Amino acid sequence: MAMRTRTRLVLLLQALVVLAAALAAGGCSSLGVEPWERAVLAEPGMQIDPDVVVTALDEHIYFSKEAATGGLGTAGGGCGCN
Amino acid sequence: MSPVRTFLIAAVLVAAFGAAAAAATDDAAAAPRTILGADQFDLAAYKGKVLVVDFWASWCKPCKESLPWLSGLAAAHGEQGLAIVAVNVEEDLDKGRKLLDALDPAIVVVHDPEGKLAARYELQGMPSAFVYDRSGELKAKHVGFLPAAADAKAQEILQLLQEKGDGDAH
Repeated sequence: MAMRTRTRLVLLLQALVVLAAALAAGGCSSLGVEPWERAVLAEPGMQIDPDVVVTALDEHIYFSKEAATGGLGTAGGGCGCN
Repeated sequence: MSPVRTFLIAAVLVAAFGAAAAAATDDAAAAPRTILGADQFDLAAYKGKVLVVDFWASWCKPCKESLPWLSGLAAAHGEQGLAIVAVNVEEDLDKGRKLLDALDPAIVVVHDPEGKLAARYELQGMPSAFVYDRSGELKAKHVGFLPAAADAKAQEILQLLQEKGDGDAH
């Protein structure tokens, strides 16, 4: 009898753990900013590289002083394919 | 004619033109564009027309190209049954006022600050345009705007304008 009660308790605990995990995972479903909510992110101050020209100049100075280039990506962000 | 007299005539003319220009501005201000709320937008009301629903915001750079382009289409093909609904998704519509004021008057503007319509349309990016045929069937979705691809989009819309839909009530 005691064995059966213990088994039920374990099953109940397992169900609670699964439920808690499902709820925790569900909490991540609404993360992220929707495309129409990006007004603040679109502001110039929010850009990773706010001034493309300054970055290009910095990279040129770095290249001139170190005689080395690359590793910094390209000015303006993006995929750096060019 | 004495210089004083010439000056006086010129001054009167300038004043008259200024007053006329001010009156014209007042007339334009007296007829502001109707802005619908997100809940007031009814897709069924456009049955019989080719409808483009365009989501835009002033912070979105490509929107500043796509909306005037759509405005040009509305001006050129409005009589053939092209309707454009421009849905602004900003909290403050005044930020897009400059762009708005330059649009064709036939364009219907919807203000959706809470993103209700945007969520219903499940936007993937800005701008997003949804093209419906005359029967109200969704025919195309466009995310983003590239001027190089604009002609193809225009052709798509013109082709829909040539088709006759089931709901040709207008």
